[in-house]
Amino acid sequence: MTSRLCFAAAVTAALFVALPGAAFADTTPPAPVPTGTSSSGPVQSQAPTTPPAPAGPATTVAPVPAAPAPAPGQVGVVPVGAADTGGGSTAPGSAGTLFVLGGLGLAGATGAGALVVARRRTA
Amino acid sequence: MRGDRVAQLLLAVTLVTGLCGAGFVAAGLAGTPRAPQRVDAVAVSSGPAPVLGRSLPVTLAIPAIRVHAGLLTLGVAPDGRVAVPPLDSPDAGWYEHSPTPGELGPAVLLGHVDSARTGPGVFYDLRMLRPGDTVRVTRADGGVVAFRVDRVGQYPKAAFPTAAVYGDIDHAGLRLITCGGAFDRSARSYVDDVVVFASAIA
Repeated sequence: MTSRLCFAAAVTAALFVALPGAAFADTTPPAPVPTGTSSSGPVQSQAPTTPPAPAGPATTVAPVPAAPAPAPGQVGVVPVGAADTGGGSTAPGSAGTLFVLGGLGLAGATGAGALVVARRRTA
Repeated sequence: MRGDRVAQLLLAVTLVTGLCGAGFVAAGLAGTPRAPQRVDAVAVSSGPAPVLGRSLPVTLAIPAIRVHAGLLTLGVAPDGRVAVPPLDSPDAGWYEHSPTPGELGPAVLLGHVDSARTGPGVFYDLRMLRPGDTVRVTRADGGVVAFRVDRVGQYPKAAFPTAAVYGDIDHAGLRLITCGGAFDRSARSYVDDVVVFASAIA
C-alpha cells in the first residue's frame, strides 16, 4: 500500500513538472530568430516582416562633384621655340667687312691712278 | 702705242676698282648700326585698363623709339614656330592665336630687328625701351589701346621664356618680340630674343 502511494506521488510530481512545459511548448511562439543566423528551432514560412529596400545605387557614397574642365588658354596655340626675326645685316662685323672691301678697292684705284699718271709723265 | 693701251687699261681698272670701292664703302655705311634712338617718355596716366572685346590690330606706335608701323597677321610656321613678317617688310605682325590687343591675355607682336638687304628693321631699337615707355595699338574698331612697358628682357633662343610670353595673365597685356644679341653666321640667326612686356593702361 505504501509503495503504491509512493509510486502515485512520483507520477503526479512528474506530471506536474512535465505537463506545464508541454503545454507552453505548444502555445508559446518561438523566439524571433535573427536574420542570417541558423536556428535549430522550428522555422516558420513567413513573409519578410521588413519592407524590401527601395531600388537604388548599390553604393551610398555621396557623389563627388566633377572638377571643372580647364579653361582654354588665352593663347590658343603656343608656338614652339623662339621667333627668328633678323637677317643679321646690322650685326657687329658685317659692316666692318664691307668697309675693308671698300678700303681695298679705293686703295687699288688710287694706286692704279698713280701708275697711270706716272706712265704718262714718263712718256 | 703699246704704252697708250696699257695706260687705257690701267685707267679702266682704276675706274672700275674705284667705283667698286665706293660702292662697298657706301654699303658699309648703310649697314652700320645706327646709334640707338629713343625719345624721352611722356608721362601717361596709369588708371585701370578696361578689358576690351576682340578687334584686330591695325597699326602700332612706339613714340619712344619712333616706331609707326602697320600690323600684319601672323600664324604658325610649318615647323611649329611662330611665323614672322617678310624680312624686308616695314611692318610688324600680330600673332593670330593670341588675344587681340586690349583683350584679356597677352597679345603678341613680332617684328624684325634688321634684314639682310634693307638694314635696320621696325624693331631695331626695341631693346632701347624702358619701363614706363608707352606703346599704342590702333584696332580695327577704331579704338586705341595704350600699354605701359613693364620690363624688357633679352633671352637666349635656347631658353626662350615661353610660359612668361604666352602664358595666361589676369589683364590685357602686350608682348613685343624681336631678335637680339650676337649673330650666328653659320646658323644665319641671332642667338637671342628681345622681349618687351607691357600692360594696358587705357
